[in-house]
Amino acid sequence: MRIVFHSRSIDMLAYVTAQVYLNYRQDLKLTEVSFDYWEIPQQLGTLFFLGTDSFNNKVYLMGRGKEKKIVCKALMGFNRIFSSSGKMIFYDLSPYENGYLRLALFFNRLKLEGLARKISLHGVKGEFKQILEDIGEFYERVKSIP
Amino acid sequence: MVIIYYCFGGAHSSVLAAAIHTHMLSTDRIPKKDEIINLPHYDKTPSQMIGIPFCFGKDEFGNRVYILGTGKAKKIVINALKSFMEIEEINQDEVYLENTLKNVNLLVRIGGFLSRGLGLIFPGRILTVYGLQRAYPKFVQMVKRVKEEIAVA
Repeated sequence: MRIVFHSRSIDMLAYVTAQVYLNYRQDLKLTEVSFDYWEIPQQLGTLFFLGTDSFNNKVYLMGRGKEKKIVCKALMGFNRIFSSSGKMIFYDLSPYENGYLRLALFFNRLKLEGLARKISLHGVKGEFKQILEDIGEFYERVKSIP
Repeated sequence: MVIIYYCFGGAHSSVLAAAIHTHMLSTDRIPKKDEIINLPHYDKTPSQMIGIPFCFGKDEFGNRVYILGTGKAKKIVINALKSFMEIEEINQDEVYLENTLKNVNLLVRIGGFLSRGLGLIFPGRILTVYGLQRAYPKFVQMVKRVKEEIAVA
């Protein structure tokens, strides 16, 4: 099975959330999570392999712009046509996109990456509790899939 | 091999190209209005189905022909497909992608918008058919080229 964490672009939020999933523990702290997301290529639509979870599922990150429904449906369709490795699960990160993260996206577009990172960190800190809770539920759901 | 004809909504030009490719429509004459309207998926793909590839049939070589609407996310969807092929280790020669929008004239665009975008099906559908009939030779040429390129591959 493949798990795709998708957001408007591959940013700190996407990277941190996927890392939380890969290293999931109920008492995981934000300081224990890696932040090296800026080394990931930013081409929208490209699936970036991040790692394998404890159930041997491959975990990917994808930036998909604003057209999330179309891109996810297309990928599901390609998976149906070509894949030999079964199901594909999508995890939408847009519910966590708060004002700070949107502002960071804007600064990123202006090539002010340093400032964008600082604002992103603030945004991710604000959402971390909710992310950990939701990922916990998601983790259990994935665990129950045979 | 998989051949994917894609356009904006997956309802008109990609359907016509796939129908020519699978010999549902003749290449030596311009099809009549009813022949186009009665094609499977023609002017039927609702906007919420954009993005889903639909199997249209098989050609004479046994290749599967698909139609796909990419909406405003054309580049992203194509990137996603290429990236997916890479992770699945599918050879690039196994998939042929063709954008059918480049053969589309203004009549088809307006008709498609009226029918699919605004829900004005009757005038929209008539306009798309008329526009596609006018552009038909271009579509036949495109499909011929696609088949030649597939044969080489």
